Amino acid sequence: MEHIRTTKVEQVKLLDRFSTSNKSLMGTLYLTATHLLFIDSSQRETWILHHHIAAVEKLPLTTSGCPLVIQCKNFRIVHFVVPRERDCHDIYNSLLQLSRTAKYEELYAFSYNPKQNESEQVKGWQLIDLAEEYKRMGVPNANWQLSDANRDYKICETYPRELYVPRTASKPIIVGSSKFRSKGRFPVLSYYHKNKEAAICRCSQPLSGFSARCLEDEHMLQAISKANPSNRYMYVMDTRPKLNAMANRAAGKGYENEDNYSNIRFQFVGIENIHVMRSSLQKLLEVSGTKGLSVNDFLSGLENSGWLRHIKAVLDAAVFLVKAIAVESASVLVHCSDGWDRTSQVCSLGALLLDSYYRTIKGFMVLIEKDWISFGHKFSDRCCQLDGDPKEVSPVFTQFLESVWNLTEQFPQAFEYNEAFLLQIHEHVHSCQFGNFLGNCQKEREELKLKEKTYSLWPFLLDEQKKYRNPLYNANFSPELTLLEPNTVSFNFKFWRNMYHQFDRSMHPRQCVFNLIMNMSEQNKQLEEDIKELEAKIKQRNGQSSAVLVKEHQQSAHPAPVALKTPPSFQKEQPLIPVNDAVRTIEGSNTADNRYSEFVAEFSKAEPAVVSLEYGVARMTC
Amino acid sequence: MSLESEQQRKRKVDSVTFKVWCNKLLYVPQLFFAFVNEEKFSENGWMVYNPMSEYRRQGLPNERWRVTFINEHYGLCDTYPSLLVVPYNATDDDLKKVAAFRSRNRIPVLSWIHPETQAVIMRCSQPLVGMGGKRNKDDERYLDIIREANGQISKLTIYDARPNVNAVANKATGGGYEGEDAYPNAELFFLDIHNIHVMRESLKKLKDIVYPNVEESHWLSSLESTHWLEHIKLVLTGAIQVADKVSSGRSSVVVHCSDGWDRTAQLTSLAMLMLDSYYRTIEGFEVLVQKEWISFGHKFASRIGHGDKNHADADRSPIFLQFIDCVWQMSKQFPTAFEFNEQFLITILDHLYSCRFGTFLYNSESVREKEKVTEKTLSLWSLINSEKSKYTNPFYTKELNRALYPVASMRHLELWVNYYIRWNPRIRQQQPNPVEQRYMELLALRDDYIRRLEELQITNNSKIPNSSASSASPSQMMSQVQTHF
Repeated sequence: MEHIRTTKVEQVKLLDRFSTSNKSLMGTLYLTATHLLFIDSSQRETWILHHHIAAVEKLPLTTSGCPLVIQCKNFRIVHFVVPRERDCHDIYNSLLQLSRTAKYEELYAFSYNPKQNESEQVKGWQLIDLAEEYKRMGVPNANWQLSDANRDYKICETYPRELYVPRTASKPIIVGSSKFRSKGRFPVLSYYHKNKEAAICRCSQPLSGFSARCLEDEHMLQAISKANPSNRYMYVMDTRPKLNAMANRAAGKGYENEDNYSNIRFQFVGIENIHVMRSSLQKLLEVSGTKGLSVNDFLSGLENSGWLRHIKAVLDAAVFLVKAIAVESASVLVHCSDGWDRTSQVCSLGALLLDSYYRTIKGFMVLIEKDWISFGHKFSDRCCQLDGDPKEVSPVFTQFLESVWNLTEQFPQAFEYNEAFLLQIHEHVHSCQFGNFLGNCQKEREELKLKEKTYSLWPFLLDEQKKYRNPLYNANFSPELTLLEPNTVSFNFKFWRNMYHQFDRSMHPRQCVFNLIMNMSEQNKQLEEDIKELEAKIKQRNGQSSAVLVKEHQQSAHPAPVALKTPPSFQKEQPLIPVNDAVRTIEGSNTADNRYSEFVAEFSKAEPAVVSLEYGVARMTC
Repeated sequence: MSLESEQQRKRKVDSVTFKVWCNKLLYVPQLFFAFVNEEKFSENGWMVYNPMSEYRRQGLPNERWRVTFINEHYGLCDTYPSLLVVPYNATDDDLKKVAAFRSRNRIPVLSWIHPETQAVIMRCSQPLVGMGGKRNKDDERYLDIIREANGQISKLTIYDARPNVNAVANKATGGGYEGEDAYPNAELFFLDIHNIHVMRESLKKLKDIVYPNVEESHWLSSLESTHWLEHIKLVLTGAIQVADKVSSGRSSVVVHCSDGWDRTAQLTSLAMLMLDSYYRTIEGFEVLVQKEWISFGHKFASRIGHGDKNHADADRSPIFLQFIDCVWQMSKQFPTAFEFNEQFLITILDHLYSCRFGTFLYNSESVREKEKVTEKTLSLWSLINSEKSKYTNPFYTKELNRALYPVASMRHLELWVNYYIRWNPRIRQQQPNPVEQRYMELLALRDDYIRRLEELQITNNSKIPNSSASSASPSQMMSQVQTHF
C-alpha cells in the first residue's frame, strides 16, 4: 500500500508498561497492509491490527532511540523504542494513515478471507434470524403485529425494515408518531414477555418542546398500553438525567408530558450522555495505565473517573425496567435522546435479566443483533471505524459488555458464556474484521453489500464456542424466563481487570479456578467417552459370543488395563492446573517433588522479561 | 463502640446460653467463658503445636543451629516461648548479653529456615540504640554469627517494619535501629508499615463506612479514606520482600519493628506462608498461628481487650485481623494453594473475640502457663479439627514447595466483603458457593466415572477369551480383542 514506506525495522525494543526494571524485549517490527507485527527474540509474536489503533504518539528522542507509544481500542498499550529516528518517523506516519480509513471499502473486513465458500458465507449470515427471534418471544400474536411501514426505510432510516407494533396502531398513527419523534424513531417493540404479556418498547425523544402535542403519538402510546391486557398503565422511562431532558426542550425536543398521555407513568433514570462517558473512560484509562500508583490514587482515581458509577446507573435503569415488567406486568417504553445509545443499553440489559435465552451463547448473539445492530446503534461512529468526528466516539457498547460482566460475576451459574466471550466480542466490535458491526444502521449495511462482501462473526464464535463456555453454567439454575435480580450496591461493582489489563501479563491473576473447573469437565467428558466405548465393546462381544466365553470366566483374575485415554489410576491429588495456558495465567505448572529445585526456573519461564528478584519487586510496585 | 465489640454483641444473639455467660463473665477478668466451657470435641487442639516437632520438620537443630532451653523459666525474656533456636556458635552467655541490648530482651531467634539455601528468617525487637547512638559489641557479633551461619552471603539483610521517621523517633525513648557504622555487614531496609494506633484508627473508619449503613454514594473514596487496603498492601509488600530475599536472594534476614510482636509477627508469618506450603494446610496454618503469634507473645489480651470494658484502650489494635485479611487476599489470588477456605479464616476471627476457647487468651506463653490454659480450657483447633470438612477448600491441590508471591497491587486487592459487611442485610451470600458447588459436583461425577470404568474394565477383562491377553500390552490386547471375532 502506498502508505507504507518501511516494512521492517530491526533492533526494536518493546517495553512492558508495568515492569519496574528497564528490561525489555528486543525484536523486529514488521508493517503489513493490515497489521503491525512484532517478533521478539524468542519468536513470540505480537499482532496489532491497524483498525485497533486508537492513537499513535512519538515521544521525545532518548539515548536508546525514539519511543513510539501505540494505544489500542482494545486497551492494549505498546511502547516501542526504535533505534533510528527516521524509521520511527516513517512507521509513525504510516500508522497514522493506516489507522484512519476514509472509506468503508478500505476496512479489513473487505479484504479478510477466512477460506469459506460462498454458501458457507451466506449460511453464516443466516445464522441469526430476527424474525425467528420474535417468533420465539411470541409475536406476532393477537395484540402485536409485524408492520411493513418501514419496508423501504421510508419512515425511519436508522430502524430495521421489520418492525413490530401494536395491532391497533394503524399506519397513519405510525407515520404521525414518527414525525413527532427525533430522527423518526417511533415506539416499536423490542422485547415481548410471553408470561406477563408485557412489552419493552423503544423510541427516541418526542419533539415536544415546551408545549407541542401530537395526537398520533398519544394514540401510539395508548395502543402499546392497550396491547397489554394485564395492566392498564404503562411506564415511560427517559434514561437521561432530568436536567438534560429539560435542556432538550429548548431545542424543540424533550420528554412526554404526563398530562397529555393517558395512563402513563413517567420516570427519569439519569444515565449520562456519550460525552460524559467518553471522558469518564479516558480518566479510567489514565488511572489504570499509571505505573506505581499508590493505593489511594487508585481508589480515588477510580471514583473520580465515575466509570463504575455510570455502570451502576445503567444497571439500575435495567433493574427498574425489569421490575415494572416482572412485578407490575406493565409495559415499558424506553427512550433517551435519539434512542440508539442508552436506550439500547437499557433495553438489552432488561431483556437479559428477564429472559434466560439471552444468557446462552446463541441468545447473546441474537440480543446484540437485535437491540444493537438492527436498531441502529451507531457502531461506526461510536467505535471510530472511519476517520470521523471524535466527539461521536463513545464507549457505550463497552459499558454494555461491562454491565453484563458484572452480572456474570454476581450470577456465576446463570450464563452459558464466560468473560472470554465478552472480551472477544469487544475485540471484534473494533477490529472491523467481520461485517456485523460495520456501518451505523441496517440501511447503510445493505448499501455496502456487507452480506456479499464480508463475513459474519457469529459462526466463527460458535465454532470455537468451547473456549467461551462458562464451566459453571447450570441450565437448570434458570429455566426459561427466570428473572435475575442483581444487587446494585456500589461495592459490588469492581474494576474489570481482565478488560483493561487484558494485554498486561504482569497484571494477570496467578491462578484461575475456572481453568481448573474447565479441565475437570474436560477430563470427565473423556472418562464418559471411555466408558461408552468400553460398554459398547462389551455389549458387542456379549451379543456375539456369549456361549463361547462361559468357561473363560474365572481365568483372568487380575485385570489388565485397557487402552484408555485417561490414566485409570486417577488420584484426587493429581494437579489439574493447566500446564500451558499462556492466555490467562502466569501461574506455573506443578513442581517436581524435590524441594525448591524448580520454582525459580519456573517463574522465569513464565515471565521471561523479569527474573527472580525483580519479579517479586516488579509486582509490588505495579 | 469498636467493631470488635459490635461483632461480639451480634454473636451473642446467636445463642442464648452464650449470651447469659457473656453477661455474667465478660467483665470478670480472671474468669473467661473458656474456663467454664464444657464442650466436648473429638480432637484435642492443644496437641496441634509442639515446638520441637515443628523445628524438626524444618530440619533443626543442625550443625549451624541449635535449640536452647535458656528461656525455660522465661528468665531471659518473659514474652518469648521457652524453646528457642539460635546459631550454634552463640553461647547462652552471648544470648544474655544480647538480650540486654534488645527491647524487652527479645533477642534475634530463628523463625524459619529455607530447606535448600539454609537462609533463615530471624525475628527480634529493636536495638536499644537511644539518642546517644549506643553500640553493643555482643549484639554486633551475634548478628555477624547469624550472617556466617548462612555461609554464602556477604551481607545480612535487616528489615525494620517501621517507617524510617518512626524508627528515628524511637531513639528518643531509648530504641532505634541498626546503624551502618555499627553493623557494616548488614543492610537495613525500612518497610513503612505504620504502628498499632494507625491501624486501629483505620479499622474504625472502615467500620464507619460499612456500619450501620454502607456508604453508597462515594464508596470508593470512602474506602480510600480509611487507608485499610493501603495498609494491607504495605504489609503484603513487606512480606513479599522478606520472602523474596530469603528464597531468590538466598540471604538470611532479620525482621523487627519496635517490640517485635506486632508487625514482626505479620511479616514473618506471611513470608513463611509464601515460602512453605506446609503452612497452607489447615494443620500447618494452626501451627503457624500458634508459633509466630501465640508463642512469640503477640499481646492478644491487650490488642483485643478480652474481658476489658475500656474500649478506648490505646493498646487495642486489629493487628491479627490484618494478618488474616492478608491471608485471605492471598487465598483469593491462589485459590488452589490453600487447604482451608474462607470459613476457616472467619471462624478464627470469630473466636479471636469470643473467649470461648483458650487459644487467644493472655499475652504470652509464660502467663498462659501460669493460668494453666491448656489444662483448663479448650483449644479453638479442637473445634476446627473435629469437623475439618467444613473448613476445607475443595480446590486445594496439594503442591509441595512452591513459593507463592501474591500481587500486592491495588488492581488485585479488594475489601473482604464477606467478613466486614457480612451482617448487612443487603449482602446476599450465595450458600453454598456456586463455584465450589459446581466443582464438588464435578469431583463426585469423576469419582463415579472412575468407579464405573474400573468395573467395566474388570468385566471386560474377565471375558477375554485368550488368557495370554492379560500379559499383553494394552494395544496388542485391543487388536486381539477386535480381530478375534
